[in-house]
Amino acid sequence: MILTVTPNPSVDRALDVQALELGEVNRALRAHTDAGGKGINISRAFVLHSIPTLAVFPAGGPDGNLLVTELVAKSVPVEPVSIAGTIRSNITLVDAAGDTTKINAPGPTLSDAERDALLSAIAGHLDGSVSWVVGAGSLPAGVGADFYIKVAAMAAEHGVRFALDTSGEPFDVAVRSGNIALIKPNEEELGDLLGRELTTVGEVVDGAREVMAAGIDAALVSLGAQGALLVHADRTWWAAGPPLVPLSTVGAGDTTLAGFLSVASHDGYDAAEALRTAIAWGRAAVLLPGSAAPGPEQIDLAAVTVVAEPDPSLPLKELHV
Amino acid sequence: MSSPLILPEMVGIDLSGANRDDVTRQLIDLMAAAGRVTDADGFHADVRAREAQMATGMPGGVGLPHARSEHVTVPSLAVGRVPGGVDFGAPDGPANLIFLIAAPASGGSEHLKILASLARRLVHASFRESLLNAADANEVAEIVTREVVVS
Repeated sequence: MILTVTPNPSVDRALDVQALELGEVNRALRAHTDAGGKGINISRAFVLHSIPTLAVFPAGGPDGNLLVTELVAKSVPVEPVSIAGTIRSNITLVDAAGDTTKINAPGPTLSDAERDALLSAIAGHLDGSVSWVVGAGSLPAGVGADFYIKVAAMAAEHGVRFALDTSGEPFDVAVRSGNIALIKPNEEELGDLLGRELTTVGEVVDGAREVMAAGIDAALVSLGAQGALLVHADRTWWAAGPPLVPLSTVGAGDTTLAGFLSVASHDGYDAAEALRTAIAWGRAAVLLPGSAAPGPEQIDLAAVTVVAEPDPSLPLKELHV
Repeated sequence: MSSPLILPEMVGIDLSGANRDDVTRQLIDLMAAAGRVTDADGFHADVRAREAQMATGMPGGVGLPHARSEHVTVPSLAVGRVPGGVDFGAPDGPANLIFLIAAPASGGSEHLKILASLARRLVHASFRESLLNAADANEVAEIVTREVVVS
């Protein structure tokens, strides 16, 4: 089983309008509501592939109710942890021309007791059936910037591998203490972490290894349309597929990580195959609307090319199959 | 939790109903008879309001109506088996197993804990089948009590 932790989940509301006029009454043509949050997206993808998973997250307020109900309706196993505050609400306004305006409401502040309850909920499910714990997304106020360090330590204590997909301060703080099997930054997030721009394969690989020296086994560095690099201490692979026209890249990075873990959850897995699967899942995800995850019938492994030890001098923007 | 979540008298082993509202009401009446609901009409209105927001059908032939309500005395779960099926809005067809989750208004998100715990078991076909194949209400209540642990 793969346990996902989403410390700062959201309910995403998208409203389609003809034209958005500030200061006027606007009428939405359509409204969609979706459970949001990176770990939740990963669990949703696993459910579509019949891979056992559990999504742990704080839930509070009417939107917490909505989040749980929607995930239950999609057969996503969940462990909501009650909080007094209301979870985040992200609003997206899309006009007929496709211009998108996003408004993210502030998230809740968790009390110390609520943070501890979240950690206990994770610990309570760390039995022998769990192969990976995934920490994904931003952190709500109150849990402390070292929250993912605590999760990593709990996973290590139970002999469970920990994957981390976050950015900014929580990423910076967590990578320094190691104890992580896999990080999944994109090249920009990795560059932000290192404080320098990464423009070639070699710069990404060297940068990833610099970060990994603190005690991280692997880095899956996503490169958008240019695929992704998988960096181990002594080996590197690059994978991508032919160009495609994306419909929505929302949640595609989460699906990419899910694809990787779908292979990496097996003992003695082949790293190149995990990377191929990651790219295939990510490619399928961008062809679907919103944050929808692809099912098995939408995955095309054969479209993905994997190259071992790619030329370090290659500029990232010139990477193509 | 001092009172058990479910009692044999809150299991409808062979229900039939015109629609989800009708079946839900039969389960509410079982709860009321067991003293878990003080005002069946009032609680029914709260469940209807919840159902109006979002259908509570789950794939695999399951309906999960639920609500927090001031008319509920203790967190409770009623189960109905509907051999003929009743639509609960799930994409894969009608529901044969209906779980009504009731929690007191003061209970915070107690009903979500029950819903999540129950749903984690319900994704397993073996759990659903054990309930569908149970000999009587006692066995259904026994299985639910054993398998659904609300932390």
